[in-house]
Amino acid sequence: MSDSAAGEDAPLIEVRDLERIYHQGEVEVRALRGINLKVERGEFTALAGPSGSGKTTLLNMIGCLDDPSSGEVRIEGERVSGMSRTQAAEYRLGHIGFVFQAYNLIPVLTAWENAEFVLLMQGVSREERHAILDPLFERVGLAEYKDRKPHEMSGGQQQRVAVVRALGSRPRIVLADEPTANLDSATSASLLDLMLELNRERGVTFVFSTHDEMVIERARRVIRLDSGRVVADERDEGA
Amino acid sequence: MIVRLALRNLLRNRWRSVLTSGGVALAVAMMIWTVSFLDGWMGAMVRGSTALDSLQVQIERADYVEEPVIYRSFAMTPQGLERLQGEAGVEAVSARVRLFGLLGDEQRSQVAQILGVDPQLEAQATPVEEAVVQGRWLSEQDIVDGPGEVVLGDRLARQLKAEVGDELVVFLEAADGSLGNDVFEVVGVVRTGTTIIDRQAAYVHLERARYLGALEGQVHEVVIGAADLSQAPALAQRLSPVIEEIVNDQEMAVRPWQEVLPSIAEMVELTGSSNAVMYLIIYLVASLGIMNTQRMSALERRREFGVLMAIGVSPRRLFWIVVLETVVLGVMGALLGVLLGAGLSLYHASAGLDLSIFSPQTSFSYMGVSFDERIYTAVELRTIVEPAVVMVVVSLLCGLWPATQSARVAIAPAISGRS
Ligand SMILES: Nc1ncnc2c1ncn2[C@@H]1O[C@H](COP(=O)(O)OP(=O)(O)O)[C@@H](O)[C@H]1O
Ligand SMILES: [Mg+2]
Repeated sequence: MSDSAAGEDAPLIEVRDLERIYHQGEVEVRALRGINLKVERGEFTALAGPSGSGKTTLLNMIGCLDDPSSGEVRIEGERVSGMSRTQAAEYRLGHIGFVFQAYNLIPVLTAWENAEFVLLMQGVSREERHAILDPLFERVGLAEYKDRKPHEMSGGQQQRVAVVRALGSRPRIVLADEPTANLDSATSASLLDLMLELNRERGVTFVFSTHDEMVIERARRVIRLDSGRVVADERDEGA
Repeated sequence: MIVRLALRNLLRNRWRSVLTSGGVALAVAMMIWTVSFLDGWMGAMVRGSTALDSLQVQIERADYVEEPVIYRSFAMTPQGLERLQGEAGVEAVSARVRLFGLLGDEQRSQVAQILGVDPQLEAQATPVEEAVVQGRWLSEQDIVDGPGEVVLGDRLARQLKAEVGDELVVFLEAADGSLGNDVFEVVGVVRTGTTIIDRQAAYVHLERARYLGALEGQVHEVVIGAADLSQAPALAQRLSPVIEEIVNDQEMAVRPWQEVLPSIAEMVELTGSSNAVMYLIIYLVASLGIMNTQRMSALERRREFGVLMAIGVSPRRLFWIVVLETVVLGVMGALLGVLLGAGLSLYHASAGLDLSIFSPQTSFSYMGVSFDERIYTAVELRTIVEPAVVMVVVSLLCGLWPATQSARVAIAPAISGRS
């Protein structure tokens, strides 16, 4: 009871004193050096920074894909760092959608099956799956591509299927790690616009990383990282 | 969906899947064929070695088993034989008097086993009539006056230089201690392939032998023909109380062929354990193949597994996805192997396998039994199902390790392509 009350008041994502040190043999790589930040519901936030600044590492921590060396991540007030692999998988299934830079989709499954997979694991009925996914495919302009395998689609189309899959599970948060890195600028722009529109329409919180200034321009909030530290946190006042 | 995923993944790497399940199929087929070949061969050997002499179950007086002395006989009536014949599992019955005596003419003589038999029953219970190479088998009725009929084993005939139509004399010590003698005319010669019969046997009519040995109404043994070789011990056990009722004044021994011919039984058992060794070797090779394939494909798909787990597939579920894939591979291979192995075995079960390609002789002899050049495989459901089922289990086991490895993949580096 008190937990859920706390969940209501707490920020959607809260990162506290987060550190992540990678050990590569003798060498210690301090990928994150004490990150503190909060993301509220419905935000459309970019993590910006040069390559190696720690964007992927940070997103992995938020998405429960990896554990911090110290500090913690809370989602809706609930500590998600340090869960078992099985607990984390369950948590992700229910709460977080992912879009990765590339190789998002299972190559042997069609676009539809890729999107459906998560819903099947959630135990959603066939009718409901259609009720959820049909409009999404329509929305991203891939209604005709449901039966295609990933290799039969362009990179932009594949990323859009990944967005459908991420949103299909009806998550609180969609985390996207350089979703446009492998796309040309026109395709990048349209993918970003699509994500932004879905963010507005559905109120889903997006956190994505990029080092592309053109993409950063479209974000309403930009958190800049450098060498594992937050160096700037700017909000677009107009939005 | 998970099954679909497994199937599609196997199809994705068609060549590797075909190669692996082909290897599995080959192993299963090899196993099926070898087991049915050995079963066939062992069956033929047991049949061959029991066909003429002991048959599948042999009934004697217990003390006759210890030492076959002529007076250790027991009374047996046609009714008694009929009763035995009526028991389940009994295919044929023959009662014999077995006399050891000297057989010959003025020039030469030989120690022989005079087997007093009912010609019809003996011919039903054994392939002796088909083994006649000269003359004919004993007639149904004995000639009461004049010389009796005798059918000789071919080697015995050769040593006596006896031909069909020749007369031979028998001398022996009868059951009452008196000297028994009689005159017989050779009516036929048999070549059975069973050494002891070919060297020593002289078949005569039962009543004539009884008279000769002073054994009115008596026999030394009743032999039982049974279809199922492996069930002979059980049959012997079932017949034991029956024979006790029929012959109530003697302690009787009812022995399956496994007891009469322990060396043959050992041979069969040895083959069974050599099967186990073969299983081990063939399946070990196959399982290394499967394991390698699955390990390789699991390594190649680290990124994919990372993504699967990221979107919420639990490690346990991923584990089963990989295991399932391996099992599907094993099942496909096993089915193919069953088709191949059973097909070939069934073919060799009807056409036989020509062994003369291995040896120049037209027939060969093994443990006192001669085989013709063809061996027929014995195909049983068990012989087919067992190797397939074992292979499926093996493939499941082979999937465990790659599956465990896959479920342990660290998600973040897998997705970013770091190793
Ligand atoms: N698994 C790892 N092992 C060792 N070093 C790593 C690993 N992942 C990331 N790093 C290092 O951590 C730093 C941050 O990496 P990353 O989070 O991938 O940055 P970005 O996504 O901003 O390019 C880099 O120096 C990178 O080399
Ligand atoms: Mg990165």
